[in-house]
Amino acid sequence: MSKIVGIGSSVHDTLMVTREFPAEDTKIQAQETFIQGGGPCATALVTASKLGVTSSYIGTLGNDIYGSYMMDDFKRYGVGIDNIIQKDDYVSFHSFVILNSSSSSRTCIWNKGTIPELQHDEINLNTIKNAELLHLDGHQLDAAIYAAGKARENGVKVSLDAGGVYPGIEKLLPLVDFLIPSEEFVLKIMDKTNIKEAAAALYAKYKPEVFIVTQGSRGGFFYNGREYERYRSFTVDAIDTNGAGDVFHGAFIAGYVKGMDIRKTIHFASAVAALKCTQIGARNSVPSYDNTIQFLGRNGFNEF
Amino acid sequence: MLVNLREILKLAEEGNFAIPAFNAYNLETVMGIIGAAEDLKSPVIIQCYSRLFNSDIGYYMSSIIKAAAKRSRVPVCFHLDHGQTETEVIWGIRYGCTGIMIDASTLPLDDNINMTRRISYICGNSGIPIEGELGHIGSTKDEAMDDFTDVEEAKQFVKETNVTALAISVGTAHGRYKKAPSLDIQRIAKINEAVEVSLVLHGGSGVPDDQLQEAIRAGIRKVNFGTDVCYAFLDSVFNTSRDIVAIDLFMKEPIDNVKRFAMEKIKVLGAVNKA
Repeated sequence: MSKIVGIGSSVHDTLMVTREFPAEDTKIQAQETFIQGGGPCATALVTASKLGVTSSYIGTLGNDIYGSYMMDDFKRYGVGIDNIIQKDDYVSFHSFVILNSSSSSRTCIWNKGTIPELQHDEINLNTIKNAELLHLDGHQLDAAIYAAGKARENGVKVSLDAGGVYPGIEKLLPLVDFLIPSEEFVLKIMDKTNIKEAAAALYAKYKPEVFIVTQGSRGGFFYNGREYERYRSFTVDAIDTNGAGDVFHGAFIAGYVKGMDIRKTIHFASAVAALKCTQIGARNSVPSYDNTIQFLGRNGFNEF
Repeated sequence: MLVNLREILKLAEEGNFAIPAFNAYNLETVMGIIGAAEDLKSPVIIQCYSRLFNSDIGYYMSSIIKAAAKRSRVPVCFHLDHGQTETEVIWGIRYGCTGIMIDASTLPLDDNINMTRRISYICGNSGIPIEGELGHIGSTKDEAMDDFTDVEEAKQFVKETNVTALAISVGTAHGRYKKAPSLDIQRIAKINEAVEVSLVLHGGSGVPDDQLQEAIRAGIRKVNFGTDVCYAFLDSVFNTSRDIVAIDLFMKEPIDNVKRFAMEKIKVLGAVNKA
């Protein structure tokens, strides 16, 4: 049984590094190619697993080259696959990304594939009941809402990496214990331009147990209905920030399950996300728990 | 065991009785209500007025009610009573309610339908059943109560909102009656014939037992008691000897008095041994 289970997006990414952006109807040579698993939820689960907290993905994948790669990638990083249903004759979610090294631009073409949405009866409720936390990213929304309700009935915490304001997301928000949205999400869903006002309004409406607004390289803040407390991101020589947000969420839920209090968990998650940015790739670059603790110590956080 | 509003009302529909729905305000009222339901093997709805969810009381009360329900051997539904805004409903979901009432009955029919439909949409995927209200059930302090539920409007309301239960205005009011009300039993029967959802009678406190039983025969499947829970508790508090200082010992009699009241009503509603 895994301590963390997740429902959401799992994507096969092909990244090609080029010296320029290709003109239409031309061919250009790539300098490097990376194939990796992606998707906010799936990468968060990989992160938790690499930090020593057992995790499992609940979802459906096609029985195609993309799905098979994602299955192997989960196995590589120790993420449980017992609750993944691979379906024949469907195409999995995949993307192709052009990384233009001269401009540092990142151009993505994605394809959700043909794989049907996860159905309620495809979710093994025992897996959720026996977990400590259910992690969601807003994808597979109908299944996510159903699973979140079942999780809460059984005292299992629900966390949400709220990035996109998808239709129907307001049905999920009342069921979320750890609401960790991006700044863009907060401003958009509350239709405001001031982030503090928007955050206060969102908190007042949904009263999550933990509420943290992420602001990318600027760090972010958490709010408890009375006061705002900022946290800063760590300064590192960043090479690849792709997936840093997903990794932050994975590290946050891992820190919670390990018993850290909220402040420690935020600094822990920030450190993991910063270290991830010092190497290429969203998953292989996730540091170990011990390396993260050493990094925190070097940066003056000796309470870990 | 903790069940939802649909599951508990199904028992009433199949057994032709009404589920007692008692408002709880503190630990002691919860203990009295649960004790009565367990002793008489009755399903029970424990509900909290939305005001309690506007403060920290909701956090503590929801924890107490859910713990009591989960340990209980009888079916218990934890219900939000008179949610009036989307935000109050969201807090009801957050606190773990297994039934939600949205009361938009003071609004014009179309606005009431739109508001109730919006709440059905929000609660739909999480499977939390909804109680709506049509025909405003006022207070006993109101000068006149002539806003009885219209049968045709009830049909339209149910069709367009996807509610599981419908509170109707048929002569009751919230509060303590100056004189016993006279329920429009025929109206209950006509609405019951016209719609397929469970009908709810608010303002059950002070309604004579024979009228409650007639209302159940006509189709009422949930009866709310709020005011009389308060009186059962407070009357006993005021009558308990001030010589008892330890609060847990002092509260013994008020708990028992709530329990006695709840047992009386469970019997009147025909809910004994229906768990």
